[in-house]
Amino acid sequence: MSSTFTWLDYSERDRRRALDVVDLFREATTLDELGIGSIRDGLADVMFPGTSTIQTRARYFLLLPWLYLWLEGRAVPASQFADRARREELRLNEAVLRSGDKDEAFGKLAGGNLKRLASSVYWAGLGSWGIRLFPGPQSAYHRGMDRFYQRRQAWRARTREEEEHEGPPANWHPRIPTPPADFPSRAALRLRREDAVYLQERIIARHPGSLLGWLAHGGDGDLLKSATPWPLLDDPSLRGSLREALLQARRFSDLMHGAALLYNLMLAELLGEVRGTDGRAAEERSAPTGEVASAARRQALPERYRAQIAEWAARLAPVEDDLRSWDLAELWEPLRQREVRVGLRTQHFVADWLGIVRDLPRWIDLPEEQRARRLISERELLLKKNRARLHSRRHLELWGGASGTQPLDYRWPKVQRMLGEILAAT
Amino acid sequence: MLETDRRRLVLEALRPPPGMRLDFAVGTTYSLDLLALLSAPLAFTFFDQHQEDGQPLSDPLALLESLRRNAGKVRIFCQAGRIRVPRPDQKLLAFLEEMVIEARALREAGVFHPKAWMLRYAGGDDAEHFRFVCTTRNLTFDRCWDTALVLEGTPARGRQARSAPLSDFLRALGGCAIRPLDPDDAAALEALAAQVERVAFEPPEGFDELRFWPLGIGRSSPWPFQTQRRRRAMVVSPFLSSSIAGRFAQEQRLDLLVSTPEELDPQPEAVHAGGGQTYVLAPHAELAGRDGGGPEEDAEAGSAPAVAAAPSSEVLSGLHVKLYVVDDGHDARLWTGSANATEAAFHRNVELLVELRGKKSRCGIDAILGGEAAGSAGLRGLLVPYQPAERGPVVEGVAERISRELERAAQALAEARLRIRVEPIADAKLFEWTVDTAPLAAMPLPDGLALEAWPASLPAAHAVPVAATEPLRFRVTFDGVTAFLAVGARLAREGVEVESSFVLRLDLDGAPADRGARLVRSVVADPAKVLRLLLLLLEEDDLGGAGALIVNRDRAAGDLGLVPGASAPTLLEPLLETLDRAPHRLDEVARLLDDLRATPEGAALLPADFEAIWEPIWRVRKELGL
Repeated sequence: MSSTFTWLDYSERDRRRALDVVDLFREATTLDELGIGSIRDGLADVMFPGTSTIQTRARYFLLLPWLYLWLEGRAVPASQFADRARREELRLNEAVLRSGDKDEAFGKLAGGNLKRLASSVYWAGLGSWGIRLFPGPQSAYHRGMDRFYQRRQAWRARTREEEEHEGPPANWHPRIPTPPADFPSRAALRLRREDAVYLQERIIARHPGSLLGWLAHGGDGDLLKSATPWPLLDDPSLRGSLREALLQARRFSDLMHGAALLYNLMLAELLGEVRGTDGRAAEERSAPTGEVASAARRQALPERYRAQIAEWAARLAPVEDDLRSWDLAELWEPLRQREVRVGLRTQHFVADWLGIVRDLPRWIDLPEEQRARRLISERELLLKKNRARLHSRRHLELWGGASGTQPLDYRWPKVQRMLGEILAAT
Repeated sequence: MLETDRRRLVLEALRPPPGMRLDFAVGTTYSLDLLALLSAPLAFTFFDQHQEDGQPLSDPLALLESLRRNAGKVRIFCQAGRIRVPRPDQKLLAFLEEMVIEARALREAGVFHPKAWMLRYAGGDDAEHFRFVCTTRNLTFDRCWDTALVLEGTPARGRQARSAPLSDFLRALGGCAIRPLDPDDAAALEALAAQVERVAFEPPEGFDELRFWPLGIGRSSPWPFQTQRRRRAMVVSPFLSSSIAGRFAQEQRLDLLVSTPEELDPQPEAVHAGGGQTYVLAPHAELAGRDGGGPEEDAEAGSAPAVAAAPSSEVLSGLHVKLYVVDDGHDARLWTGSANATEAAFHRNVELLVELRGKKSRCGIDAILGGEAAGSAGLRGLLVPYQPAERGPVVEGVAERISRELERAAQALAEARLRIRVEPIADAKLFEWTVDTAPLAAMPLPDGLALEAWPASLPAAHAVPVAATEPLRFRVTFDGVTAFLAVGARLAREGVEVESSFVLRLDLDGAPADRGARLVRSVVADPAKVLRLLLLLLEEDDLGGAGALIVNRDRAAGDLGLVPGASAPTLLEPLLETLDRAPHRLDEVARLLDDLRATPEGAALLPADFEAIWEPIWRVRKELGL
């Protein structure tokens, strides 16, 4: 062995390796505490296809295909494609960050770690909106490049020799707007008019029967202003299956919000019991100066969730009759049509919960309904087994104090942001 | 010299030489990421061992056992109050507790800043190998431009004069520790320091001489950069004091100054110091990555660890290297290490620099800068001339002042040497976890400091306010027992509020014994795993042992009948060998058995006829008092 003096590299693999080890002994439980994610995502896909909660800005729907087309234009071989694409994407991130509009831009360092790459976040959406024609996962696209170049070569040879009626082989939609001349050395998140018109056209063409398509077609950005999509139910021009899906989504959101709040209340109460009188002592003790907010907040946690359940009951008063007479077949139908599989046990859980809520005379009394508590407790145990917070002290103490306490919004904020950008630029 | 396309990885630099294993390692760092620390013991045993499908090794049992063993051989000194708050949702923190030693500078307002490792490896036939690693990076997953100097050392006959300052540095570490060292640690450190005096370190290729420059451990800090005459000099430092730049400019011909705009903008006098050229890192120097090394290539090389270690290029950004070069006649002198060109580094902090000497043609300023062309492999390729910002000199921001006050407060909190008392709660499987905060009353904490704290094994939502008048009390589970206290501190001045959070490593009294071993045993869930763990416990503590067993585990499983219902005779030979060679290892086995027998389910995991083999062997161990 000989001594050396060199630069010190950074290895994502070393970090990954340490993380992998840590992950082997992770004690975290899922974010989808009551196991209703499949229904939530299914309804969101019915209404807003191609969107996801980790997307940020609409322009990535163009920046990424442009980048891939640019790489294809350079005939980067399959063996290097993944590596090269990753590096060029990092470079693209840099270009976007230099452009000034960094809001929700990918590539900003979060705690020293690079977040996910936009290309993996948008891959499914690009396919859904018909911008990506290549049918497989990202890795297959990278691996298959050599074959693609061969097919492209063959097509070129044919067109030279004879009249060719077929278009060239393409992984990407042929009518994608031409990128700005200085792409990819410069890139920005602002949509040009032709970009916006193209994306609007894609959404309408691919998803005419969705709420997203309806909103894109209407072209009215004002419809996106409301904090929830529910006011759209009052729009007389929204009819048929579109309105139906939105109505089911609202009912499901309203119904399950109560379950989520009760679950959090149960955790807060149990945590208080485990901690004995110590919680109180901490509350009365004062910091050297001033109050430390998080501690104060936590002391009142059970009270806070009781108050939120009361708010929930009050908020639902206008739709109470509608919810009590809800036939769940109406919920499963649009999901079944879209081939969204919802497990039988999950269906039973939702039905049981609706039954309990339906039978409860006053919804403000939900915290006192023992059947409801039992159902939540059994559901968590079934889902998480020895990681269930209501059953494992360790997982209870790892609870951050709030799990899924917001009503389901089916990615509405993402629709507001991205479709808002598109409609504003057309 | 320092071509940007030649880089090493930290873990690679720590990896034992072929055929050897880690015997003892002492590391120092300013800030500490516990996850990065976790990766160090992994490097010592599992460096780049991969399963046949190219996936990194992820056998929980073997990983845990390796961690537990290596944790006992690694000590890391870090600046008190600079441990980052880790994610709470994992059990491995317990392994790291014994590794972490909080330290501080010996002088007022200084910090403990060195970033170095001293390692001793052992091989067969009592062979020993020493390695000193001096980096400019903390033990974190930073991705800045940093350097690593790796010096290989072999035991020599007599005292080596040039190793003496390194020995002094190691001996000074105990005095930097916030708490008196554990007597075993102190002895191990002293033994290492004594050995290092007799180790001959080999300079890297291109250099003829080397010299260690510890700063801040003696009565006064030396100024390492003295020369007979005024010479051409280059200073590369992300942090800068104009007085130090000025001193350089006075004593040498400071031709090149490389720093960051954040430091240069407010200190135009530093820029003018040399009248030479001032550079900063090119904004996109991070993209000067090298090609190749994709995942596929790595997987193919998996069978040859040395090749697999070649890193796929990752993005480096930001300047963190500290480098001083003086062209001295035909020779060049170069200093690398932790010290920035600041007042604090040369007057108050504990730092470690290493001086290297060689031919100017090979390691002088021009050799390190390389060609002018952008993209050349030299340092010049990473740099662009500094353009002063429009604004004039700015006064130090309030926020920065508060941050420094918070840093000092964090150290003061550590110096209170708080203790955690752990008491089991009857029948509850819970523990009272109490921190006596009374010592805080005597500590000089700034007025208006708001503190909250929680066990680092729990989420921050558990934070409670800290006051000297009231102990911190928590009820935690077995996995929640920890020696790490997470602290959130907040301080407001002149309408500006700054928050910081950090972890303190406290003394832990009354913790359930043997937590690491229990954690290992907690993943034992079937008879095959029990057998494997028994074998792991009996393995000789070297690469040929646990590592080999794990790497070849499929074959081993076949050979040894490591399948559910396997019979105990498999263990007879290893047990007898252990009784002969390392009888103390049997105690571990006995503890595992006690644990398993404590429950009927546990007892059922033991091989059927194991007792018949174990009992006579264990009796001999006890009777002979081996």
